[in-house]
Amino acid sequence: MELKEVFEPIVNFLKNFQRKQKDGLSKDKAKERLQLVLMQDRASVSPDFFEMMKKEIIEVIKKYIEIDEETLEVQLTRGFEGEDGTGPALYANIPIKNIKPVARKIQVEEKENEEEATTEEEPDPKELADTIIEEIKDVAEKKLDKKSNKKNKKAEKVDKKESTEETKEEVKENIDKVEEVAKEVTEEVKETVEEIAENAEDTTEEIVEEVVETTETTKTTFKEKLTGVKEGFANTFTKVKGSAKEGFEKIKSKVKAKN
Amino acid sequence: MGEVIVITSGKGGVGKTTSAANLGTALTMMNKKVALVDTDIGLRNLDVVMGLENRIVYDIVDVVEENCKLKQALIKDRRYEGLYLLPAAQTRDKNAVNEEQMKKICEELKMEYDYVIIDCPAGIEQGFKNAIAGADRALVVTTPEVSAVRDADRIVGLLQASDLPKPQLILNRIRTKMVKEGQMMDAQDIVDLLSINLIGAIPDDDNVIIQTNKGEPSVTNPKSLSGKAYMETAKRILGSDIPVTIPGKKEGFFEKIKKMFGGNKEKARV
Repeated sequence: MELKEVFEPIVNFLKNFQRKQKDGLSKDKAKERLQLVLMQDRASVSPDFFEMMKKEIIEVIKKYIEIDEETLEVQLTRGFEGEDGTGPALYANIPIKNIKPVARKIQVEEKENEEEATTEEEPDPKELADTIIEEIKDVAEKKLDKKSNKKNKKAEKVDKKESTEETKEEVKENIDKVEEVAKEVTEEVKETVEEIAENAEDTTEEIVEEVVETTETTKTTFKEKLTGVKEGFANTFTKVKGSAKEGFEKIKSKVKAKN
Repeated sequence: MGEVIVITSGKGGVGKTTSAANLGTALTMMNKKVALVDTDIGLRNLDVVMGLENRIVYDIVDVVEENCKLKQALIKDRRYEGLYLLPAAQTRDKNAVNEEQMKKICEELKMEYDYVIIDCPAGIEQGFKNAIAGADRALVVTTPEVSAVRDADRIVGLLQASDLPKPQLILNRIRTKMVKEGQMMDAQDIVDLLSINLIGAIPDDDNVIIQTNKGEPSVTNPKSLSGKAYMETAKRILGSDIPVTIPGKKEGFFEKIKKMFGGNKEKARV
């Protein structure tokens, strides 16, 4: 008995060695397979969770980088080989379209901060104002683009039906109005920002706050004005439609009369 | 006020009923008053494992349907002071009881007993939901096999989604020889996979079959390896922080010396 006990570890060692040489220990295989299967099971317990996490990750990345959401893929894999063996990993493949200017700005600011470590500088108010103006311009331009596109299309349709010069002019006027409003708004923002920037006595923090506030208010006023213009356009459009219908009816009745 | 402990596993045949019988008996041997509740309606077995099958008059469905009082349905085990069994019904199904009724029974038993051990049926359906409804604590039983571990993981997820966020693990039927040879996952492997705390590691033991044949839990045999492991587990249920003895774990020369001098204070991390 005792002799057997003494030799048992040696025999086991040799057996294990032999098996390892062949195709590895079965317990390692079991563990490996279970790791994978449990991961799938766990993930499938709440597929919503995975979607939610994916969306949040995208939101964060989108702040700084323009990404291609269509081809983006996120998945759980068996993953990396760390010091404690293999572990699960969250694998994401995110195609980048462009790095946003915001991200570049942060890099620049960080560098500046490094250079002037002693003076804690807030971001330059003028620079900030410029970016805000840029943003508003972008928004306005996009909206305008959409508007004018729609209007052009609608105008074309009306042309085909009635081809009255009147409607064309009205539509043009409306577009001009919208453009004017956008210009006004950007101008306003520029002025206020510059004013604030000139107030050198104020601390930079206050300036930034004010800029944010004023931009918010201008944004809302811009929206209001835009909706006003929209309504105006809608009115004219219904008028045009009405007159078009009338004309059409007239033609119809004339044709009938002739027949 | 006592504590309600549910013993569950997901997969069938891993030793839920055996664990419930042994832990219940072990706790009574430590002078606790224990009620064993069999919730496996339609497939009751805790009564035969405990050797009390001939004494059943009323069952859990009779209690729920108010054919009798709870006290009348509880069978007193004459061999062990303070051990009682509430048997499951054999001719009904899991839907004969609902979660609210189960909660009520647990509340009532808690007033009278130090520990209420609930033997949960296999599966994740109504029977499982009933069994965990009134529980304060859950013990998940598994064996070192891929199917049992997978089901255990599912159960852990479901328990965590309910009001039992910290289930503990009983690893059953460890084959020491196979673990030594590297042909069976050891306790650490299972703990790594399930990431819950280990409260008991029970070696595979012929004694369990022999004892069950006789209708006696293996804790009553002081020579039985599984009995010893269950006793240790019961101590840990009572709050002792003795390290879990892992069957088949390689013991180094220094550990043996340390153990000889009683200096093994090192807590098992598993």
